[in-house]
Amino acid sequence: MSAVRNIMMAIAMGAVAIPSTSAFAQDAAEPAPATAPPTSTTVTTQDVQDDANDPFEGPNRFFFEVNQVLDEILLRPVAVVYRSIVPDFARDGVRNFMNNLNSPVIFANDLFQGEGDRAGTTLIRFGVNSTIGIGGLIDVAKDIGHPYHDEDFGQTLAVWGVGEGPYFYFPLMGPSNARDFTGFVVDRGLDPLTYVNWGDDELEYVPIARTVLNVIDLRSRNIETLDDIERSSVDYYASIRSLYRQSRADSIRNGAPSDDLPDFDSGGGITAPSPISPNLSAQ
Amino acid sequence: MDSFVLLGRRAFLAVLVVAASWMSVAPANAGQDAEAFAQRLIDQGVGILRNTSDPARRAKFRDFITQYADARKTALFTLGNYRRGANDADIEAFVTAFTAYATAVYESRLDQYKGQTLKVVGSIDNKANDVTVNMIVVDPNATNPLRVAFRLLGGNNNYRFVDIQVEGIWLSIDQREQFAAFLSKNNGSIPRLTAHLQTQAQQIMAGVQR
Repeated sequence: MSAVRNIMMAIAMGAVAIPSTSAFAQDAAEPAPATAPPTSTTVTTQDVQDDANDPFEGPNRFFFEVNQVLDEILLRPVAVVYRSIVPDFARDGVRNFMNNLNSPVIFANDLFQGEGDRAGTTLIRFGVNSTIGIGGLIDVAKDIGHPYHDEDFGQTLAVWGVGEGPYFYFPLMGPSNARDFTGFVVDRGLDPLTYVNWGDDELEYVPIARTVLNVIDLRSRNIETLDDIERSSVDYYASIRSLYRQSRADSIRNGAPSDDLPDFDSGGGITAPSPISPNLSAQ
Repeated sequence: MDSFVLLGRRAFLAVLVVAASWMSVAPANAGQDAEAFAQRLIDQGVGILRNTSDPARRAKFRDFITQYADARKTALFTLGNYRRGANDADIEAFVTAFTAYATAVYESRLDQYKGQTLKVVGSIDNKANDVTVNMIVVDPNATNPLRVAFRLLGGNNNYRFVDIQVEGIWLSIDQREQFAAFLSKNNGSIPRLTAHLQTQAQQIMAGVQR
């Protein structure tokens, strides 16, 4: 799983910290510059929300702050401890195991998107890593030319031409949109582990433990990266939203270059094509 | 007469062949130039950051960015529609503050790669004098290599970079969306954004390990 994808997954699990330099907190303390603010621009808050595809920005920002509090008091500290006491090889084993468990979902979505070669890669990876790789703990397949790739039903919907729908920031779950949330629900249905009857009381916590371990591991891999993004952000919420939308667009294209490049000659405009558009999905 | 026409046709075809071959070669050469430039750029930039014992490291990196980045173009792009109607003095002050901010961000980002190797893996000619050079971060322990790209404008081995992409995410788009959010909450005040960027640049630099 790519580093940024890790970040997005971590963010998606509420793994973001409270910005120490919140743009809005600072605004309150920062006196207005001596020169009067220009009012001649015709750009409105509504324009910005429309461009960011964020009609529910108010509630979204509220849940973002809630998740940041949870991250600061719980998830980040746990991730720091986890990284400090668990050796690298063991954490890599956890990550490989988690990736391998998700193979059936990836395989199904490879097929839904008509990606035969990638479906074959996923199948080989699952077979090799589940056996020679000791239940997925070791990524043997990568070393024999079958690297990991991710797919989900949100991406599949995009490839089928479905638009992203409005942006949401959910409590605990983090950034999403109507299309990706639908994909998330469908992927749970595609996951064979959803239908396993874990039986007695001790095993019934396996699905929860899987989710918790997955979140902690992902967060532990992005401590400095998220700290850096937070530190350099003018508006952390807007940055996370942009990173999410751009990252998803990149995943939908399977990393292929986008035609929608920033236009530096004209000075740019905030009404440039959305970073996620259905026509990109065919690339 | 026929032989003259035939000769003329042959000459015309020869010109076409030469032109076609030149056209097919020219972009490749442009790409190769840009790739070589990007490799030198990254080697030099990371090289400055690696030399942590050099007290002039930060000043050298600032000079490096001034020389090779077209921060003005990037700054104007990140303002988006808010640029309309703004007065020249505000724009100039913003460009200056953005340059300091962008230098801090570039240093902060590149600082993460100072222990690793970035290798050029190809390039795309977006249009004339506009090339995206693709690189990967060589890390044998990574599940997949990290993808990094530089957007270069210019030509004839004289490029300046305007944007950096990591794993499909363009920094300039991220910044533009952040600035738009900030400005929408601050009555479109570019001076207020300028003041905020000045403070932010100092905070970023304070967070980067020397």
